[in-house]
Amino acid sequence: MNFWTLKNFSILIVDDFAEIRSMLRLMIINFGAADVHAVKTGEEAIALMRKKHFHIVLCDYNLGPAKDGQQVLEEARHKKLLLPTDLFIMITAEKSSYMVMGAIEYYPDDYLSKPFTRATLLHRLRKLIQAKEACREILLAQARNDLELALRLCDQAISEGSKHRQSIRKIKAELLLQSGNYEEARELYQSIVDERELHWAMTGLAQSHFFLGDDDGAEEILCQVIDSNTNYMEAYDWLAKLYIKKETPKKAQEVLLKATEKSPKSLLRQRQLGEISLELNEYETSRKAFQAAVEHGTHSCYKKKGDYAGLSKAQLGCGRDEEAIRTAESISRKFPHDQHSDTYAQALVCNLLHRMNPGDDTRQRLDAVLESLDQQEQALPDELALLLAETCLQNGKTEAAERYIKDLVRNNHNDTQLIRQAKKIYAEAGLAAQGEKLVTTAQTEVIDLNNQGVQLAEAGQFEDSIDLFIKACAAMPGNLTILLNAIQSLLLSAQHCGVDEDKLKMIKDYLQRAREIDGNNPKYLGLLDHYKKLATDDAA
Amino acid sequence: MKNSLSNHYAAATAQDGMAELDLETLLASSLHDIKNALGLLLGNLEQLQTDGTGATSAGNSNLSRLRLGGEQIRMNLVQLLALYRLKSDDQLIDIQEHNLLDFIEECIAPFEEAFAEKGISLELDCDETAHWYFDADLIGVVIANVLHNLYQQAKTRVCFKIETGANGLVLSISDDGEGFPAGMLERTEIRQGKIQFHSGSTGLGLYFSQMIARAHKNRGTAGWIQLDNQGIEHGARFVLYLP
Repeated sequence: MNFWTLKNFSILIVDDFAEIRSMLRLMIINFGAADVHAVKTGEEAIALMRKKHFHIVLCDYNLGPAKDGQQVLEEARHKKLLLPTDLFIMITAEKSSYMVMGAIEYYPDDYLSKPFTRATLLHRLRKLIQAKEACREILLAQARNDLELALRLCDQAISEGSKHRQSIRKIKAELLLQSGNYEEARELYQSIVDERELHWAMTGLAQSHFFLGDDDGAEEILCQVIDSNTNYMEAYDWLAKLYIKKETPKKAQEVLLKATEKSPKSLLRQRQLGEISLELNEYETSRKAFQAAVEHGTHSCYKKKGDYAGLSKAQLGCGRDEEAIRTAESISRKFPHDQHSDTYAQALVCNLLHRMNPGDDTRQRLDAVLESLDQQEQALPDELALLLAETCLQNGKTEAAERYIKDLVRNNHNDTQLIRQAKKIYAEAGLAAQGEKLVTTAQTEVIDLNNQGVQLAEAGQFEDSIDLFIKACAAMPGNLTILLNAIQSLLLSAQHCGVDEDKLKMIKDYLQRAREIDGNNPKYLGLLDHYKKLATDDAA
Repeated sequence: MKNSLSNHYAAATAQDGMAELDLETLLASSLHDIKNALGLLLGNLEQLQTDGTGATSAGNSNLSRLRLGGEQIRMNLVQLLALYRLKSDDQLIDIQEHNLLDFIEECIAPFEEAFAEKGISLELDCDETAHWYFDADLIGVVIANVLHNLYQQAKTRVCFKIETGANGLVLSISDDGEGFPAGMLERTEIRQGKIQFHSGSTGLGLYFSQMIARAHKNRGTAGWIQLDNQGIEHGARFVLYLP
């Protein structure tokens, strides 16, 4: 046991108490670690992780008034400051609370309840490092989006009778869902559930049913999980998603109400509850949810202007007109580094004023806002485009609204949530049919163009395909699908016709743009990997 | 004007926050402080023991005893919280699959030095790949409880035996001490699990262990604990069954 050492690991300790920091540091140094950093706040932790890579992060959940441990985890994983093979360990004061901290997307690798002894810490670290080591290649393949390889490695480890069989089966099932092999995923989850009704496996089974289109099956299993353990939050999330899919928003709202009662600090759940309650015209529920989202969002990487817009609309619905205006005005202050926050705030005020007194003319005010916008044909952020379109429709400026929505749809033709919101804006203005037509036309246009480009590439006409995609990228700069397919065509051409510097540079630029839109997109990650190989081969 | 309004707004939010500080929050935050203080105490003791290269072995064994004392307080705190949780709220039990060898080793780790200094050997009979389903924090406290008792009672040996089958996990911990007093084993409430509060720590520890075992349910069967004198050479034996 004493031969084991942390010598090769860089370790970050995050705790707001100086004494605990120095004690943890001593413990870690006693295990042979040489590269140990300790910081006081979540903000400092994130800043340091941007500069330096850590293999292990030991982070306390309670970090004083600003970012909490869960927010540090979310931001670190979301912004890829940690590799999937790195460890994030959450230190908590009591166990009961941790289960409800769980965000929708990210969980720490383990929880350690305070106080713990050095022996316990040593043992736990050793175990976790071993487990990560056993899954190392699988996790790396998954991160590269090489799902086939990852699945093969899982099968190999399982057939070799690995000690970590269960965690590997869990990863395998997730990979099957990720790669769209829903039937196989269902079978695997079912076989795990037959051994033991573990909540994660039941929820995975329900997810498989969900994707296979068996909504009733999914609903039954999820309700069973919730009835047996009221704190398994993922089951609530999927049940809410299911009810939204089935277009029973009232039921989804009930589930989200229960979920946010259990886990009040989850920004994403509060946001969902706020949105769905607003749709149902239940302003008081919506107001409370958005209020919580705004409060918990202050230090979160998920903070969004839309939460303030939602809050102000709900406040208006509750007859709190003045508060609503104040909320809208506060946006420029709350997002000081956002170049569009002023415009957003002013457009929102305009929107609210119109809602208060539909008879008043707010056109002039709106025109001032629109004029203040940069006249350059630069893609507007989605949130702002939606708000502007909505406000334009209120004021009868249908042409301008059409322009914003068209661009929005072109840039996000397969984002179901944005598409739904776009249609909703038109429906609210009494122009449902017009909205439907506008959205569908723009969608079809993108899909046709994309198919054409793909077909050209498949036929080996790489240059034509590239030309087409370059033009499409210029016309809809925010469309990730188009961007990724442009990269794909460029890569194919390089592969078949040799590498040239201009194309490499173009790929690099497009990859950078894709990363800005969604750095976690699996296809993006796969293409990035492909590009890196190509660039190193070229250099060699 | 805009500024003064926003200040007013911020103040209102802060006041709402004040009103929410109820008894439960206060208790929770003092427990948090106690745990921090205790963590520091234990950490400093450990550090003292590591640094004290020149210290006498007698001094070191005093430190070990101090540490075990701290461990006991820690265990009691965890126990208290778990009892509160199981009594007051829904069943907040987190059943996951665990490798048994890893789990037992982690349970033993804080005791190893103290047992070694007393000349008690810890033996472990467990298959490397064996696993079972339970709440590791709660069962960890049950086992720490047993180990505290064994530290007082065992002469030279403590033996862990772990078996898993289709119906469950049987974990037995035996020592070569004097065994439980006959009177204690005869108390039917222990056999039937209807343990009442007694003066002294054993009662609460057993009550807790029984409660935790029972909270582990699977397809209609609940866990249990059992005490007897079928340990090493009629020493004490503690048996935990989990379905």
